[in-house]
Amino acid sequence: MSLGISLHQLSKRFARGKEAVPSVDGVSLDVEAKEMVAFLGPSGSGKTTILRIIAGFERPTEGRVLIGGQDVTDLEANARGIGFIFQNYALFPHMTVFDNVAYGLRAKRVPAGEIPRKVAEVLEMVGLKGVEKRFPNQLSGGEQQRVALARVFVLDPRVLLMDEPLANLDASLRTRMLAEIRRLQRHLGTTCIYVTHDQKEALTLADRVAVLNRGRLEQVGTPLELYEAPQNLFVADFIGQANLLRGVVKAVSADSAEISVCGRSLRVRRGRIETLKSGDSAGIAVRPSAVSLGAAGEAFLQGRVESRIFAGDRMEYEIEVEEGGMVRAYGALPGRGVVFSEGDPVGIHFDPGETMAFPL
Amino acid sequence: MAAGFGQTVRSGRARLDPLTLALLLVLWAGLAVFVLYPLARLLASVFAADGSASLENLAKVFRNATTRKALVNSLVLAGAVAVSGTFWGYLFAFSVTRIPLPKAFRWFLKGVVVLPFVSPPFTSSIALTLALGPGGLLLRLFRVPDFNLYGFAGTWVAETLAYFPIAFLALSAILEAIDPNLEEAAASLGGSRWRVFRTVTLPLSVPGIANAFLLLFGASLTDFATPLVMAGHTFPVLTTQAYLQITGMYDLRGGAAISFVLLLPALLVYLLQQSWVERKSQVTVTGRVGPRSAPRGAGRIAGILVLSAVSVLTLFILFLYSIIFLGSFVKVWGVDHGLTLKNYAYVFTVGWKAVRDTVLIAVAATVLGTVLAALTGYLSARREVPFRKALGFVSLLNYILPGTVVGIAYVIAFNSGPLVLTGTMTILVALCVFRYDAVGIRSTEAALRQVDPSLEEASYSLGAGRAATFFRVTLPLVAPAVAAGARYLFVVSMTAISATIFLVSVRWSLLTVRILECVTELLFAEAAAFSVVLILIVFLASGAILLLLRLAVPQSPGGLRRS
Repeated sequence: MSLGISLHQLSKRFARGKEAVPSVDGVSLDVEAKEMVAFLGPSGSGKTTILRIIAGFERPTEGRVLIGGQDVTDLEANARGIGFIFQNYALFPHMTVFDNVAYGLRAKRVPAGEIPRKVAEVLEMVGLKGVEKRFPNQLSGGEQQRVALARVFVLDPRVLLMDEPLANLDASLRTRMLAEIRRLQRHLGTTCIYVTHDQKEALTLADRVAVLNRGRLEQVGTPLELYEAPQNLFVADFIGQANLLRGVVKAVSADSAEISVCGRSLRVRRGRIETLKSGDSAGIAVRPSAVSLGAAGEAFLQGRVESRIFAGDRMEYEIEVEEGGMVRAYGALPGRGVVFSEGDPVGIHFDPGETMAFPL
Repeated sequence: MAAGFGQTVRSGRARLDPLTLALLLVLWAGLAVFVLYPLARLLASVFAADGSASLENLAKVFRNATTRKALVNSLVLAGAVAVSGTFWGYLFAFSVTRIPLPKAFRWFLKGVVVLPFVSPPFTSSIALTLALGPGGLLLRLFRVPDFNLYGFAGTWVAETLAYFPIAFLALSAILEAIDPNLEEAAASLGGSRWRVFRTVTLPLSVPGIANAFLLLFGASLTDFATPLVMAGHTFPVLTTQAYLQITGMYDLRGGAAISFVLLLPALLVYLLQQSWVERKSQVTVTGRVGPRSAPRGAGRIAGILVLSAVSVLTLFILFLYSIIFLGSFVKVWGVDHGLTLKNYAYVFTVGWKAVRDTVLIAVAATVLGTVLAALTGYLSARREVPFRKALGFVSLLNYILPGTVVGIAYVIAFNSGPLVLTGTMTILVALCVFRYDAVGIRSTEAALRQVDPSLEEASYSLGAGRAATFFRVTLPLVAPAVAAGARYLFVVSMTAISATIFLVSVRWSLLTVRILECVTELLFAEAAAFSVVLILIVFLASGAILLLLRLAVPQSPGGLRRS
């Protein structure tokens, strides 16, 4: 049976010296049953701390944790029925694979007669047969990862929490395990929270992504929502790439705002223009794909090509803007459009439909 | 900063559950009664005369010419033993870590070095007496008419033999930790072997040398058994003077004052040594990466020189131990060398009570102490308990203090007053537990700090409670450290004398004290038989503990710790 998770105004402050440093700051979030939510954020954003609070390894300074509607904030970790996958797997080094997987069953006092069958089933499910008698240090990284999954899935957890589970694997194995984890989670219908700092992992894996920054929840949404409609500058920058510029709001209308950037006027239709007021500073985010380069002189901004990189399916440019700052832009491959060389003067255009503005 | 953060992260489980609280209370009660209370009584006795606070007792010590001389002698002897012991320790450590030797020979050297650790404290003294004492084997062999072994020289040699293994352990650890790449780099920059040794190996092992020197200085300063046998009347030292003051003059207060004079340099040396150990960690290796090349050997000539010196001492040690062994089968050493079993008959009849009592006390101390060490180590490494630092310090206190001081403090504290325990088994067991548990506590704590807390968290999240987690995950992972503490505790409980000699009685006797009695009555053959029996018991028990560990914790092929 899969259950939803609710976080209510969760805060965690650590005493560091005399001041209390918030690691998690007023986070509220509902995760539906059977849903897979990724916690995405840079290191120090508090994502792991939240996960550890849900698991019961940490106690929140404030706020409540509900699992399936039941308040578990004061419950010990071993009474929560949660599966936790550690970044380093935390396999018991003094036990065989069999004993590792059977550990939770024995703690639950499952009759000894049923244990071998259950262990064999779950090992088969994660694609690990015939390694029961080996010790963790005789397994490869990927195999250890599968044992960690088996050890948790054998208990049929109501909720699965994963703390950067793929961080210790090499790139090709990571892609395989990512698909594997997704398959198992869908197949078993387990509610899952997946912590990562890798946006590709979060976007490919999760039904919804919660973006965290400095202990605060910046935005929750489907991967597409986050990319298409970021709610602030941090998310716009963190999901995908964006050129960030500063401007001053000149005028705001119902569906657009006029913002002065580098002394030029720019009309912006996306972002949080409803929150902008005339005279405010605003942050502008333009994805490199929304920047087009042209001949110098007749453009929105003037610049000079600082560097050019061949990126396979396109050229990537770093442009030094005349008024200061750098802009990243994509261009056509040689033979399929205009190609600029390093040092060339260029004109820079922003696609108004793709330019976003946020209050600062 | 990261480590500090890690600490606070765990503070989530800081709430004191009733079990932890109960453990803490029991622990503190034990420490209060058997560590703090005796020390307080000792200090009160030293700093009081005629019912008021006074320095008179200490002044008396310094007015007395013999005790003044004893202080100087103690310090001179300690310095000499520290120099010679460190020298031999370095030679042995260098042989084992830097000279390519057959594996079997390397093990053999390590085995010989360990012998003094498992022997009663008089072994080297008795053997030296049998070899070089009046009518000694070597003296007669080389026809040396009169040679006085007793005094500074004899004590110095006997203590060097007894304590250089400490230096060996400290130094081989540090020589092994020096990254061979550094020595290779120096060699590839054009340094000759001698130059590499002088400019890289030796400077990097300086912290280890200082550490070994201080450890040996402390060991010699507080040694009681060796000077009692070897020093004679011409070379008084503080430990024996304190003992004689109490047993000969029935002057408990005076003995306490002398032991207090001993306490100050001993404490100073300990603090110095600790600060060296702290500094050591900056100087030497961090985690080594990549394959480790074999250490560069010494040059041919240097290797031969070092090896010959090491071999000579090794042979001498073996010679001394075989004298003990042979001596135990001889009718009267130096007079009638006919073979006999009467010495063993003596041990198993007249001496049987001492054997039985000692084993009983050692077993009791080991069992109690091991449980205590595991719990204390766990509490101080894994729980945010109040007064954690104080707990660590107080549990180490009796270990830091010289045995003579602890013994006299126990006599003062438990002869009179609210708790009269002298003459009981309880006091001997308590002394061993609260004095020698320090090693087990420290090794358990160190092992626990190496076990990733996520293993315990994994156990919780898989549904296991605290007790189950402790017994199935935590304890098996630190079992080798706990077992090491248990072995140490058993060995020292069997071989201790400096503190226990003040506490034996008609009802409870100890092997070491019986050996001492035999020596003073010149019953050397019986003393040798006692020593052989004691060494055998220690070996057997040590093996039994290792076997228990094997049975209790299955060893994964690659060792327990994952890289």
